[in-house]
This record gives sequence, structure tokens and C-alpha cells, in this order.
Amino acid sequence: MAAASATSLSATFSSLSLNSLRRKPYLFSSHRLHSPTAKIPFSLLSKPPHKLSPPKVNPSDLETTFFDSFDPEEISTFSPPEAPEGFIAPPSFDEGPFESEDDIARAYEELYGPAYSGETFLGNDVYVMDSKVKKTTGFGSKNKKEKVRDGFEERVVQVRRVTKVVKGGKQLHFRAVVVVGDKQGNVGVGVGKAKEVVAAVQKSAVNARRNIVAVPMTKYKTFPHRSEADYGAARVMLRPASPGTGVIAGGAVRIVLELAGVENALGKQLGSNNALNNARATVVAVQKMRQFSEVAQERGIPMEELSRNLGNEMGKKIELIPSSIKVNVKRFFLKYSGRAEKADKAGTVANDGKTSMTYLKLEWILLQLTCPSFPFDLIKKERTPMLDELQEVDSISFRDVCAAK
Amino acid sequence: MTRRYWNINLEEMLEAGVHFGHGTRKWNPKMAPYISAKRKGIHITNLTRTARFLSEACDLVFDSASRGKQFLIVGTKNKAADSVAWAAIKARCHCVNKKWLGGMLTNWSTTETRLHKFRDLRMEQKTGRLNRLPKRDAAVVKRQLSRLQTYLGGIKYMTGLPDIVIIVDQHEEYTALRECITLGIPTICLIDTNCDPDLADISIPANDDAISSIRLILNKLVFAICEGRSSYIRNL
Repeated sequence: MAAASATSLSATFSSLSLNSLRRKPYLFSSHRLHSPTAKIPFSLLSKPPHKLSPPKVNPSDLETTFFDSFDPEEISTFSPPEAPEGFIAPPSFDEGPFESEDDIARAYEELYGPAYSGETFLGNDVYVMDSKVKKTTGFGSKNKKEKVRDGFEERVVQVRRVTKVVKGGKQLHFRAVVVVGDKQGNVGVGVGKAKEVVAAVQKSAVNARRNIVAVPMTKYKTFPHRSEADYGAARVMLRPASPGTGVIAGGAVRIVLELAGVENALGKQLGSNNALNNARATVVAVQKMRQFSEVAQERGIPMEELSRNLGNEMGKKIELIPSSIKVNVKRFFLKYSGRAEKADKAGTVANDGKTSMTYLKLEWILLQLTCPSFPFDLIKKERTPMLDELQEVDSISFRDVCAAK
Repeated sequence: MTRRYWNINLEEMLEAGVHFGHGTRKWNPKMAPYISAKRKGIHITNLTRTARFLSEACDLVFDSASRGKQFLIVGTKNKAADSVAWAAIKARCHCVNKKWLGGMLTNWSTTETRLHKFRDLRMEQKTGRLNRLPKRDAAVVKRQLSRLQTYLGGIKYMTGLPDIVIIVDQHEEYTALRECITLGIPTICLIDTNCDPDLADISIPANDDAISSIRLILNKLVFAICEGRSSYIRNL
């Protein structure tokens, strides 16, 4: 237990969602990133429990200790603040003046209102709690029109009739699997059983609203990356797709993705085709996904490095910078450094678009990082005329570029 | 959160027997940091740590009472039942001294139905309608009423879920603790050497068998609640 748990508890009191915080008293995420925050009590470092990727360690971190601000001997010393003068210990609760039942009831009623006590001393209405509870049986009970309350749309994935065999015969129930979602990235899957289909659907909707998950989505309403997950024997693979593709997936997976608001995705059920398990597997798969910004923050590196690694590994173009800035870096540099005549002589080697793109991006990134005084704004304005003279550059060593200045 | 003085002294605790644990064979190894010694086949808890946690619990309770939060004290051991009831009356908070019905908090809507019934029965009793029923029906109704009184009597003023729950013996009230965890309600628990300290939010390693030790700890907490309430009333 963290020694500072009381402080953190009362600090986070209004949220009352303490379980996730409580379970990680001693875990530190990327130490480099969090060392300035190591003074904060541990339970405030909320990290979802299923993040599995360990942070990268560079050798300078290996000497650090994880318990810089935590002293295990601290618990064993007890140094209470000083007693105020004239402090009289209050009487224990069963000594002390005996209050009559009336007094007790009156005190309670002052604090809480008559609630369910059946009698009132302060003149409150005894049936005050009835107005707050809607009737489920009786006269006014059928007036519930549950439309799209609280913004969630429900869709039934499957209704099955299930049987329990008892001595007297077969007992039939209906089991409904319902997916609930607003189209803004929150979905939930729920099951419910009842003797009537409608009741089962309602129960499962209630259940679904209880376990809602947030889907990480990009600007184009698709996933940040591929992911696979399994639940039981159902295995689901999800893949992002370019805008205009639509949701290409079967049955339960499609319904979950549609209600999440994902517009372009590919999904496949690889294992069993049980609807409930597949719906749950997509939820698990979606929970495993991370946004680029989250990963970059966790590893403590800028996002451009992430995309560069990705580009090198997967060999694809990553759109970090708008693709229309295809620059001849050397040409620009020379031009704006005042040596226009040399600029025209800058090499123009025709390459196919793909490999040089990564080079161009690299130079661009390096330029941005190392020469902040580079006139980027001028380049952007000049972009359109330069596009006509699109010249690809083969591998310039950056030293050359700097030397040219 | 300010740390106040709660009049916790170790001699008092020694006198009450707070430091005794359960037998050596029944311990939970997770309690190892809070056990200081082993004497005559019984584990002895480290009182400085107990005092530390108790003062933290009192701080938390004082803080939340000064914000007007609702408390629930749960203690169903027959030894502890009376002290729990007295403590709750003194502190003006809800309590459960007889059996903790399963789903009291997680199935709050059903518990509320029972509370409604309780209230209606009491109204009937007050207005004297019970005397007009035939004897058998009256007896049935009276039995129901007494049943509801024993189980729900302490929570009849509760309108919603409580904000903090104080549990007297974790081993005994495991279902109550589980319910609070699923609902995300912060808990303060009296932990003995055979209990798991990681389940509750603030666990106070103490003796849950001796009435005097339960009384002492409840005294401190009740004092804190009263102080908090008075400061709440002052600031209103």
C-alpha cells in the first residue's frame, strides 16, 4: 500500500473510480519521462493495466533507482503532529450521554431526510423517496418509452433460444447479444437472458452500457494500425483502410465497428464464428491499439522518429508532411543561401518516386531539427512553382548541404 | 490534506490488544511487512505502522466528512455487532450489523424496493392498521417487519450508494468488500494477519478478534467523522 494513498484518495475523491489507480502503486512507466513527476504519489500515475510494451532504456538510465522518493522505513516511523493544548479525549461512543431514540432519529433526519424511516420528526414528507423511484409494476409503470436515451444506439447481434432441461420438461429462455454504441468511438457488447425476447434485449442493453470501451480512431475514421485478438476460440484480425473503403467485415465484427463510428476498416474472423465471442474479440483487439501520439509520449521520442522507423520497416510512405512538399533540398538551400547560380547546377537525377521520397523526408526532417533558421515559410509559399521543376535528389550527404552555405 | 492530531498513542493500543494477530499457521504472506514478531505461536503486528495507517484513515475520513459524504460501517461478527451499532449512532452514519445481504450495494435497486416496503410497513404500524387485520396476517406482517428491521435497520436513512465504507473484519465481510471494489467505492478495512492488504484502499493492520481493539479503532474513526461533520456544518 502506498504511504501517500490517503492524500491521493481525497485528491481524487470526486471521481470515485479508484480501482484502476489503486492497482499500480509501484509501477513506473518510462522512467525517463516520469522522473520529474516522481514526487507525485504513485497511485496518481494512472496507466491502463494492459499496456505491455516496455520502455526503451538507454544506458544512462540503468543506474537510476526506482524508489528515489519512496523510503520504505517511512511507514515504520510514526510522527504524529503535536497535540493542541487543552485537548480532551472525547468519550468513547458507548459511554457519554445516552440519547433517547427520538433525539437520534431527529439527528439522522436532519442529516439525511426521512428517507425510509416511516416517521418524521421534522415535518418532512415521509413519501419523499417515491417520486425519485419509477414504478416498475402497478398503474403508472407502462409509460416508459425508451428512445435513444443517452445517445447510444443499440443493435441486436443475435437472439437465440436456449433451453434448460429439468425434471418437468424443457425451460426455454432467450439469450440476446446486443452491441451498443454512439458513432463517436464508444462501443459496448452485452448479453442478457430472459423468458421474453424484448426483456432479454433490454437486459443485454443494460449490460452493454456497463462495459463500454473507447476505440482509438484517426482523422479518417479508421484504426491507427493492424491488430489481432482472440476471445475464447474466436480470433479476429482488424486492419485499417484508406478512406472510401467502408467497413468490410462479417457479422458481429461489422456491427461492432459500425456502431463505433469506424468508417473504413477491414476485419476477418479467423477462428470460430460464434457471434458473441467474435464481438468480444473485436473489443479486445480494439483495446490493444494505441494512437501514435500515445506511443511517442510513452517512449519519450518525437512522433517523426516513430514514423521514420515505421517507414523504414514497412517500406511505405507515411504521410507526416503533406506530400505536395516535394522539395529539392539542395536546390532550395543553395537558392536561399544566396548562391543562385550553383542552384541551377544542382544534380537532377531521375529516380522513381518511391525510394527518394524517404530520402527527401529525411532531409526535410533533419533540416527542421537542426537548422531552425531555415526559411521554411518561404519554401512553402514557393511551393507551387517548384513543383513544376520537380527534381528528385539522390543521396546528398547533409554535410554537403551545410558546406554549401 | 492536512494531517491533524488524532490522539493515537501506542500505549493505549497495547492495552487494548491491537497488536495481537492470529495464529502463525493462518497468516497471509502479503502481511509480512506489517508483522513485527512472532510470540507463542501468534503474530504480532507492528504498531507504528498501524498508528500511521490509522491516522491516515482518520485524515481521509475527516476530509470527506467535511465535504458531506456518506459513510457506511459494516461489522457482522457477533462480538462486534453492538460496538458497530453504537459507533454508527454516535457518528450518525449508516451501519450493517447483522448479516450483509449479498448484492446490497451492487443490486441497489432491489435493496431500495425492500426499503420502500420497510417504510410502508412502518407507516402501517404507526397508523395502527395492523390491529384491524386478522391475527394471523398481523403476525405475518410483524414478522416481516422485524426481519426488515434487523437487516435493514441501519441503512434506512440511506438514499443512494455510500461514499466511504468502513469494514471491521475483512475475512468475514469478504462479499461486502468485493461489492465495494466492483462499484469503485473507497474502503477502509481492519486487517488481521490472515487478510489481504491489497484489496482495501486503506487497510489498518489490527486485531479484529478483541472487542477492545475494535472499539478503540472505531472510536478514533468516529471522532474523526464527528469533527468533519461539525466543520461541514460550520462552513455551510
